[in-house]
This record gives sequence, structure tokens and C-alpha cells, in this order.
Amino acid sequence: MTAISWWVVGAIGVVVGGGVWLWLTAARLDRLHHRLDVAGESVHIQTARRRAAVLEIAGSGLLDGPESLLLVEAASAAYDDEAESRLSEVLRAVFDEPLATDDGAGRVLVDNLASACRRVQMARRFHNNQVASVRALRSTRLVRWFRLAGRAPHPQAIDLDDGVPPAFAGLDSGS
Amino acid sequence: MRPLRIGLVCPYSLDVPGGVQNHVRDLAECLLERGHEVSVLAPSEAESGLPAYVVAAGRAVPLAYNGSVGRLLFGPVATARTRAWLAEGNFDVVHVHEPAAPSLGMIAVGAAECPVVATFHMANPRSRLLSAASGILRPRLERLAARIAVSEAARQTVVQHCGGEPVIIPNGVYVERYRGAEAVEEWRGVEATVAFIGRVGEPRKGLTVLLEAMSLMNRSGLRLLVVGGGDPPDVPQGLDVRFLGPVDDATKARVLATADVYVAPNTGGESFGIVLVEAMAAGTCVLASDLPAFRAVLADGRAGATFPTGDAAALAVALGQLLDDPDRRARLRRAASVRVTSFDWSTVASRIEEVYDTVALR
Repeated sequence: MTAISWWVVGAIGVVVGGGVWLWLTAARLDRLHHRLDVAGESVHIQTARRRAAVLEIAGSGLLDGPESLLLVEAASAAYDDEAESRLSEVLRAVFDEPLATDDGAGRVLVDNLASACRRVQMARRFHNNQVASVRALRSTRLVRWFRLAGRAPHPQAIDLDDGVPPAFAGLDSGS
Repeated sequence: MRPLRIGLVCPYSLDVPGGVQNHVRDLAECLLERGHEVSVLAPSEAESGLPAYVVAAGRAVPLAYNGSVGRLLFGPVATARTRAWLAEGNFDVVHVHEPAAPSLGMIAVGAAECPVVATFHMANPRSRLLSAASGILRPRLERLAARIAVSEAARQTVVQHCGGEPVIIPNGVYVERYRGAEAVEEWRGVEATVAFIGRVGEPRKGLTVLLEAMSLMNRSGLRLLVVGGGDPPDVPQGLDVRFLGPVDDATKARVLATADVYVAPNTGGESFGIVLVEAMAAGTCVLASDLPAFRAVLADGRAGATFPTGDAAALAVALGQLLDDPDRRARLRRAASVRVTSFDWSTVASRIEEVYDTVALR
């Protein structure tokens, strides 16, 4: 073959290889976006469950009147990150130390709420990990040049106070 | 919690004892007991004689990776078997262990369609290998829906090299299996008994530090019980050391119950310190080197004593004081018996279920 046809073969190779790379990267980005949606959905589910657990405990008579009222108010506000942050704050104020109850049903309610608080924290953390992964890939040059992200919105980290009350704190090896 | 179909992936052979393997086996049994459907994919030499929930993925090869020798499994056959297992299991969530090791975990992360949770056991924040492999690991590990680290040290390793912020959930122990284990009179020393547990020939387990400390103490009637495989090192003249070899968990519990003090003289590379928790559960006073992982398990010295890592002279002093002070030992044991409940499988498995619940939406 002549030199010219080698150049043509080489050029076709580069184009095909580049195309495959673009296709794979687009698929990878698509999966990342999908997982991000799932993680965002999980944050909504877990915050909704936490509200339900709060309302349940507030209506159970396990706590004193003022505490129950505070909890009901915080858990009934319209949903947004700010309201969730406020709920976390109220929970920390109410459950600042372990609740001593020998009542079995009460114990279940408290454990349920503690678990719900920890799950909100986890879900948000896992979501924001996904945000970081999407952003990292979307910020690479080739992904930007070829607009592989399409019209998918730029991912935003969920910024809310999810601090778990000390009495419910997660198992960390430190404390 | 609603029952889930859970696939666990263990990177190392279950036939060979080890921290990760024990963790996976205990977790599988605990989850089964809680009503989940569980299947464990693991390398195995034998096709038969495995628990019913284990699927053997083939024969692993012993290879050094990241500072220790593990039996790893990889290659096209392992990949095909992993895919077949995933298809067959139709899992709600797959939970891989040690996904940064070149073995089944990494394969499963790449192949699974369902949400994948990963537990990182290793603690090696300054690993040169992991720094170099970062470019290989990160794109693979971006597929993880959730990351768990077994300790603060393991968490730092993940953040440094693999990306993403994990939650810390410690390794579990069946506290009941250790609590109330009976002492064996014939193993007891004349005056006092000390126990060491760990692979005998592995320098980082620190047996030589302990032997040196005992030589310095020059205390009569003090016996050392050593549990663990490997060739025993030369024992300095005049020391009373009894090598019991590798033993099963029940015997290990009895060794711990026989000892006045369990010493963990490890010199580094420890991510968690499960044996410390086992000793605490057995009601044995713990004296450990002050590695960050050990300090964390011992609640910064409240649930067990510590000494400067690798310092035989300091160990000799600390051990002597502890043996002479039964009140202090009792105080530490009491604190430890409260502390271990956080590491009991009943607590640990609930935390892991919470992670599954946040990622498995079906």
C-alpha cells in the first residue's frame, strides 16, 4: 500500500478508537447520573421516614408536652433543606442525652427514630459522594468539549445539617 | 427491616482464617438469622464442605499485595463466575469487601447492576501502591453506592486513595461466645498468666517485643500463652512460654479467660483490632500498643491500658504495674464489658442493615 493509504487507515483507526472512547465515557457518565438520581431519591425517602418517626414519638406520650410540641412543629414544616436542618437542631436539643425508658414500646420508637436519623445522615453523605464523582468526570476536558453530559443539570451537593443527636450517635470507633 | 436479597463478596479464601473472612462469614450468618436471603461469593479450594450459603468462585493464588500475603482470585474464569452469580442471585444489594484488592470484590463492583456497598478493611493511609493505583481504582469505585470503613484509620485510607466519604461501622464480635468462657487451670502460670494471639512469625504482630519485655521483667511464676500459627521464635532463657498453635474460637475464648492480661504488642499495620474486642468480651484485661486503631477500640485507655508502640521497656513497666494492681484491672474490665456491646453483632449488623436500606430502594 502507498504511504497515503496508510495515513487513511491510521486516521480511520483514530476516529473509530475515539468514537468508542466517547461512547464508553458517555455510558459511564449516564450511569453516574442515574446513580445520582437514585441517591437523591434516597435522601427524600429517608428524610420523610425521619419525619414520620418524629411524629410517631411526639404523639406517643413518651416525651413531655413542650418537647412533643417542638418536635411536631419542626416535623410538619414544608419540606426543604432548611426545614430538615431545623428538625435536626430540635432533635439534638430534645435528645441531648439517652432517654431512660423501661417501656418496651417506647424503646422501639426511640430506636426507630435513632435509626432514621442515622439513615438521613448516610443517605446525604452517599448522595454527595455521587455528586463528587459526577463533577469529577464532567470537569474533564474531553467530556466538556464533546458535551457528553448533554442537558443533564449540573449536580448540586445537598447542604443540610444532618447532625445526629448525641444520644443516637453512630457507632464510631472513637467514642 | 424488610427482607432483602443480599450478595456478599469475600476477596480471600474462606478456608484460610483471617479478619476479613471471619467478618464476612459472621455477617452472612447474622443476616440470615434476621430473615434476609444471603449468598456469599468467595474463592475456595474445595467445592464441598462449605456452608450452604457460600458459592465457590475457584481456586485462589497466594500473592503479596499491599503489605501482606492474601489468597486472591482474578482472571476470566473468576469474572465469568462472578457474572453468573450476580445473574442467578438477582440481588437487591451487593456488599463487597476490600474492593481495592485485585480479587473478586473489584470484579463484582464492575459487573453488578444493582446498588453496591463496599466495606474497606485495610488501613494504609501512606500506601505508595494505593497512591500509584489511584487512577485505576477511582473510576471503578465511583460505581459504589455506599462506602463503609471499619475504623478511622481505614476511613482515612479510603478518603486518601479511593475517593468518597465512608461511614464508620466497626467489625463485629459475637460477644456472647466469649462472655463466660471458662478458664483452663492447667494453662495457668504459678503467679500470673499473660496471653498473646496472632501469627507467631509475623514481625508486626510484635511477639518479640513481648518476649523482650518479659525478659526485662524477670518475674518468676509468670507464664505466657501464645495462640497462633507459624514457627515459634527463639524464647529467651528462663521464660515460661507455652505455644498452643492455631486454635478454634472456643479455645481462644478459654485462653483469654485463663489470662490475667491479654497483651497486643502489634507494631503497626492494624486497621481495627478484633482480638482486643474478643478479649474485652471474655472479661480479660487488655494491654495494647498505642496504635490509633487500638486506642479507638479501647476508648482512649478507658477500657484497656496502652503502652508506646514497639517499646519493650515501657511494656515491661506497664505489664508489671497492671499485674500488681487487681483493682485497676477490675476497673478496666468493667469499662470494657460496657464498651464491647457497641461491637456486638446485634449492633453492628443493624448499622449495616441501615446502609442497605439507604441504597436499596426496591
